[in-house]
Amino acid sequence: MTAMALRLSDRLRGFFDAADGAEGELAADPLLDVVHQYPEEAAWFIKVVMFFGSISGVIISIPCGVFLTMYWAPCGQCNRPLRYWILVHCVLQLLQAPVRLVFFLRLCHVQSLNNNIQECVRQLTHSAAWRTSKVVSIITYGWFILGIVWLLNSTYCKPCPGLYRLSLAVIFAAVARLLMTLIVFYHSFPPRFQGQGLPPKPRGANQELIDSMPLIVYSQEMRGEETSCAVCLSDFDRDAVLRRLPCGHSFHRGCIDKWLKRNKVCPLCLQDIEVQSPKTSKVKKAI
Amino acid sequence: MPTDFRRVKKELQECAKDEALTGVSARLKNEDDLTQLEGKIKGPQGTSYEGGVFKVDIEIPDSYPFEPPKMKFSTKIWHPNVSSQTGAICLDILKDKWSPALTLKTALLSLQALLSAPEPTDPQDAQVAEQYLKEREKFEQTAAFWTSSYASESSSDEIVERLCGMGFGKDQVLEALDATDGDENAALEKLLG
Ligand SMILES: [Zn+2]
Ligand SMILES: [Zn+2]
Repeated sequence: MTAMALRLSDRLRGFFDAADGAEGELAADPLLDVVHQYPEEAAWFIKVVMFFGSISGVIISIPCGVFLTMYWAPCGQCNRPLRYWILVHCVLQLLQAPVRLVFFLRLCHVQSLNNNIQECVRQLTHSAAWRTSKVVSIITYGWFILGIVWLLNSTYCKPCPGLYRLSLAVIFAAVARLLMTLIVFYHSFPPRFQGQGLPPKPRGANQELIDSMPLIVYSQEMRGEETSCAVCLSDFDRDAVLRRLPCGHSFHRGCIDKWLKRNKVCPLCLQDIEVQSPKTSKVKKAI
Repeated sequence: MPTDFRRVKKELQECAKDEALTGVSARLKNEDDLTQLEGKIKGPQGTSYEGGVFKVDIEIPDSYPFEPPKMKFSTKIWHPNVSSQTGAICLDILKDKWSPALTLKTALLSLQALLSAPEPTDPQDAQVAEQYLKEREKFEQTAAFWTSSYASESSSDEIVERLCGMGFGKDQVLEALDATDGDENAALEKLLG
């Protein structure tokens, strides 16, 4: 009996430990990179999300279970199988709860020992439990969408009026948890990190502003200026149409226009094209 | 927007011109793909990276040069601004400070400069940065150890000697090394093939 229990606990522990040979995919895990950069913040974020995830899953499942056992038969007469939807949703939540709880406890344990958080997260994210949990998560989301669709299509159900309201409450709870995760994320990490991966803030110029920069035709006689375009690295051909920025730097019109739409600074001196420089007047005089 | 391949080709030629002088180089991973490159950076003298050659994975995005090339170290390196696990690099010009007037060469030179002068206040690897700030001596030791373990490349003389020792003629060996950019294994394959 004891031996069996031991074997079982061994098996269980293996489920939460990194599988050998997972080393190779190390580089591909973005979570690990975040943990590496902000270990404390990441640990806190994972802990909070795991803790609330497991608790909320259990809390939601209890009233649902009670409701379903009481009204299973009458709910069968509603025009959408919402009773099955709630049942499967709760089962999925309950499946994830222990995994999340183990993650939470492990992280707490590692933090209290002041051990290497990175190593702990690395082990956890490479465990079979994590991969299984990922699959369950994906199924949960798919099932969740299906529930919304069914709910939107369902009409008032006389034999079982509570079912509609319960489904709505379950969906609201899930949305609330998603929102909470986002809020915790924004509070966990410094603002610089949040910018990564997101499209850069609009700092490009509109066509009107670009058109306000003068066009000039290149000729060999223009002395003391660039003879090639710093954007495409090609030499200016005779009669090439260039655009000159307020800082005095010139580029192929096509090349610089594409860049300014993304970022309205001069590629060479990084001066904002909307800021008039004292150099401008000098350049004009020189011409 | 299609990638400006003419510019990439031009940059590679430009890079090759003064490779020996700058200590940085870039080449295509395979002949017909201009989006996957490999850069190499010689560890700067007087640093714990001296004697090492660090490989950098370079990916040219579709909108290059209007977006920065994606770079990460493929050689393991112990540095506050590089992830010791993934090789991800924290350098502003490879992110929001990119300008199309920068090139692969200038970006690699900036990386080389970063090796000489880490910026621990803007770290990519918190653990390494902390060690850099608090236990400098230990940091230098670890960095030097990683350099000798992961980034040391045999000098070309040693390679030639080794290959000649396998019974190939010296001219034959030099020719093979020349054709394979000095890659010992590839040269050996060529010699055997
Ligand atoms: Zn141009
Ligand atoms: Zn300028």
